[in-house]
Formats: sequence, C-alpha cells, structure tokens
Amino acid sequence: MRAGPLSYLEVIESLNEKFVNTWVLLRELPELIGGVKGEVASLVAKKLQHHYTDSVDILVLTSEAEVLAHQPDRALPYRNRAQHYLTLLQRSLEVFEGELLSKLEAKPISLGRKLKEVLHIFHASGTDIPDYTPIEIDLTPFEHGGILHIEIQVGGGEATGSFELYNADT
Amino acid sequence: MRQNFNDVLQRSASVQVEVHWEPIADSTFSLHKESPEHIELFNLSPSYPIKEYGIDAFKAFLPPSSVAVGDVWELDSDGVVPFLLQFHPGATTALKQGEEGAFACLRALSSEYAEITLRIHADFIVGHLADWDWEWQGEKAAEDWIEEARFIPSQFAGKLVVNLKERTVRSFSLALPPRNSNVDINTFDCAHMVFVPRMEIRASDADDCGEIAWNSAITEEIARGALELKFYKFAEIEWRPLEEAVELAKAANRPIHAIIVWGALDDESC
Repeated sequence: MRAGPLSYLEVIESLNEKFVNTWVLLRELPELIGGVKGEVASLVAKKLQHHYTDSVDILVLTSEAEVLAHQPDRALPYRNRAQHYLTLLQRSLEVFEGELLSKLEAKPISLGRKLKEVLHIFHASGTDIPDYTPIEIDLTPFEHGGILHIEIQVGGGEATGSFELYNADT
Repeated sequence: MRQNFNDVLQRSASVQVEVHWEPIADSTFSLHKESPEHIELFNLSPSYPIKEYGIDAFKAFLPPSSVAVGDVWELDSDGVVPFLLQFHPGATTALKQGEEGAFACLRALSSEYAEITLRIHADFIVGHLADWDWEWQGEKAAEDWIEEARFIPSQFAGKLVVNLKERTVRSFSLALPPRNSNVDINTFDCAHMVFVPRMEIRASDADDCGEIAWNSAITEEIARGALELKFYKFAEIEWRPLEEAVELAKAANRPIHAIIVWGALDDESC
C-alpha cells in the first residue's frame, strides 16, 4: 500500500489538496472509541471499527462520520492500483461535493462488488464422512478476469476444517 | 551557516557504549512463546552489554561534506552495522523486505556542538532453517517457508552530539522507538508484530553535560520528518492524528481519508 498507490504523485497531490488524511492502528481504535481524543473522534473511530474487514482498509468519511467509501486494500483491483485509487477518491469527492449523501443508501462506494453472503453452520457428522457443503459462486462478472475476495468468518469453538475452491466442472 | 566535519573526532580517544535490551513484553498471539523453539529463537540478549569503540567509529555518522542545519545525508551501512552487532551477531542492513537505508540530519549547531539525528533500518537474523529441526503442527518445512528467522525493529532512531571544540562524542544513542507495536518477528513459517519496551545502545560523556545554546536548530519532529521522506514517498502526504483530522475536515469542509491498519505505515514493524 505505502509503496503502491500512496507513493503515486497524483494520489499524493489529490490527498493533500482535497482530503484530510489520517491513519490509525487497529489496536488503537478501542481507546479512541473510549473517548480519549474527544466525542467526534470517538464517533469516527466507531465507524472505522465497524467497517474494518482486512489487514488494510481505506475509508472516506465526512467529519460527521458518514461513510462515503470503503475499500479493503486487497479488494482494490490488482492492476493499475494507483489509477483505481484515484477513481475511488474522485467518486468519493463527487458524492461529498455534490451533497449526494442521501443517495448512498447506507452503501458506501467500493470498487469491489459483493456477490454473495452465505450463513451456514457446519455440523460434525459423528462419522468419518465430513460435512461437505458446496456453495456455488457465480463468476460470470469475472469473464475478463479480476480478483475474487472471499471472507470466511469462524466462531471461537474447537473445530477443524478446511476451505477449498474448485472449478464447478471438477 | 555550514559546518565541515572533516576535522572533528580526530582525538585518539575511546567511547564506552552500553546496551539496554528488554524482552518482548506484549504480543496478541504470543508467537514468541508458542514452543520451546520459538522461545529459544526470540529470547535475545546483547552480544556485548558494554563495548569500547575508537572515536573513529563515530565518523560513520558524519556528513561527507559541509552541511547546514536541516541537511540530510546517507550513511554507509558498513560503518553502521558494527554498532548493531553489539545487539546481536545477526545484524544486517540488507532487509528481507521493506525500505532499506540509513540517513542522518543535522538538527542543531552552535560554535561548540553539533547534534545529528539518525534513522537506520536494520534486521537481525536470529536463526537459519537448516540449523533447526523445525516443524509446524506436525509438518516439516514446506517449500514456501523462509530460510531465516528474523527480528525486525520498526527502525532505530538515534542522536549523536559532537563536541566540535574538544573533538569528542558528547552523547550517542540508537533506540527502538517505544510505540506499542515496534518489532516484527518472522519465524520460518509465520510472522507477527510484538512490543519491545526498550532496545537501545547509548553513551555519554559524564564530564560534558551542561546546557547547550544552539545558534541554529530545527525541531526533532522536523528532522525526523526529513529522514522519513528519505525512506517513504508516501510521507509526502500530510497525515494527521485522527482527532486533528476530524477538526480540520470540519473547518476546511473536506472529507476524511482514513486508513486502518494492523501495523504502522511509517516504519518497518509490519
């Protein structure tokens, strides 16, 4: 990230001219949310924590903590990352300057697109046959390539398991 | 006002340098304590708790030509590494990844003294896979395992104060900044950020400790900012603490661009 889009001159110029920039360590968010740096900073920190999904996340917000854009770094398209970063910034600015916040409908701008969300509880079968539950992912939006970003959330119980990705023809 | 350092540190004197190095104090996943092997890898202690250096050794931190306050110059790693070897024999300025380098900035100058601010990036190779019967969850080394286990400080921030009249070292320090995540530890198969409260080498001349009246100076923050720019282009972005960003965004009617990260952006701890 720091050696990628954030070191690109046009991105640097855009960020310095049109945005106010901050970076926050994930582990510092609880303290900020607790209010050590004030009420408004606490509100923004809450939004940052709420939207955090990955090792590096990018958010654009108003000073009232309205989220305009949310982009996990890993979901930023792999090629021409700096150009995509500029696109993200430009779209965020258009929303901010156009006062179109109401049109966001609680869906911040992101260059990624959520294809599917699945909630499934896997049970131990009690036999040697594991619980294989296939979940189909429609990859037609990737006809011309791209990055598929898959998040798997697990609980805290003791278990073993694996996640495997197969071609449907396999 | 420019200062030429060619004639300083010419005396045949020596300087005693001490190491202060505390163990890893905090780690979310306790990787450094996961097994007896992990404990052995990262239970580190100084090679030489105290070491005498000839005063010539400190010329490694001086500029090659005359400089003014605020000027930055690159250091030759061959001159820097001997000091880091006092911590551990695996010291190297050849990083596995990240931004390599060692730079210095003249922060303050008077007719008698000069203060130089330092920033050095270095790793410590603490083990070689070939020397260990290492396994992970019952499996032996996989192809993607790395050959060396490393202890990677975020940076070494340093300060050298030279007595220009006496041609001596008044004080010297190289220290790991005590930020809450300041070291990345890499085993052969895994990596994690940890906190080391103190890791420092230092020396001072007990006979030379009065106040200094500088003729010209910049703040330490400005000097450190100038050094940071030598490592990271992204440091050209005007970053602010969250609370300042919120206030400024409101006053300037601008959106906030925020990055949330596991590890610090502006050093090598992640």
